Amino acid sequence: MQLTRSKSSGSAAALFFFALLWNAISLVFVVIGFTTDAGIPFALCGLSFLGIGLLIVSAGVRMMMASWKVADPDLWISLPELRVGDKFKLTYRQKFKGRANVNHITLKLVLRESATYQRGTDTVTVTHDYDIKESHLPARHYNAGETISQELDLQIPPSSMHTFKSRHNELRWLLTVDVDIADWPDFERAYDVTVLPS
Amino acid sequence: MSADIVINFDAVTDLLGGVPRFDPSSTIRGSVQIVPHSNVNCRHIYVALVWRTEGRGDRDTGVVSQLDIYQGRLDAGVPTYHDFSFTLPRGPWSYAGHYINIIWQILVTIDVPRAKDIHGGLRFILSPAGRSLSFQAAALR
Repeated sequence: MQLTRSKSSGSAAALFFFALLWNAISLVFVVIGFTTDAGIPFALCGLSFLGIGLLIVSAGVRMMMASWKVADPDLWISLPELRVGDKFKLTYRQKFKGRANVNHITLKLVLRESATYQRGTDTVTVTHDYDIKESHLPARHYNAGETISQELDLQIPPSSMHTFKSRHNELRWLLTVDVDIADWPDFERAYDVTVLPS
Repeated sequence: MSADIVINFDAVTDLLGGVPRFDPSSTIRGSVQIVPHSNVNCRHIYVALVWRTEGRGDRDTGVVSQLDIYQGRLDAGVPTYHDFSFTLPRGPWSYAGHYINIIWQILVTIDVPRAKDIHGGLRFILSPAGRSLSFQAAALR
């Protein structure tokens, strides 16, 4: 079974679109502050929002830069469905689009608790990760067109928990890929794995 | 308006931390004893199989099944007994984590007209045998 990318693992395009909207609204505040009687405090407020917007743009640029060097990975698991206690094989393949000095590649099997609650008018989500298994590929130089291929033996621990989703609380199993490239933004992706009760 | 509500499970074969454990998809049977402190004309007495979350997130609940076991008058100090039986679902399993706990219980509700409902509950663990309820990453490695 091939895994599909987690919906919460944002794309650079979505981030850019959001940043564009954010900065446009912030800019209106700045212009109003400097050109009308609204005054400097109004403009400063707009500028601080603009600063946050620029940080979002920079995050988008970093995500995009990471994608210039490496393509999205392909991940397969050896079973058609997973249950608590199952042993399975993970196949990971990823192609390099450009030359890269990789410090390390980390593949992780993670159980993530995600709890959402209301605090005043804000909705807050907190997460806690249990790193079940972590595997590192060593530092290496990769040329454009080269493909990394790796197989890993994994198990959903028998004493663990199946995937659970309710309105405010969620238990998700994820396979994460982190490619740490020297002097370049990291490439990070997360893939959802549905684990059924045994 | 109040009442003593005592819930008991039949055929408990396993305890986990002192709490009865039942296998997913098995049958849970038991009885409810109700002793009202005053005369009550109740609309319904419900026995429900429910789960709920506890922890940092806002609470989620699920009513898996509900029985309407009695309607009518309950006399002060006179105990009444009612049996219940539910087929348990496959999940969610009971869980004790960092931010999230999943709790199962049998919940008894006495629906009293023009007054606050009276509740009583008894927790149990829904989990396969041999599984630890507390989820610790270190123990999994």
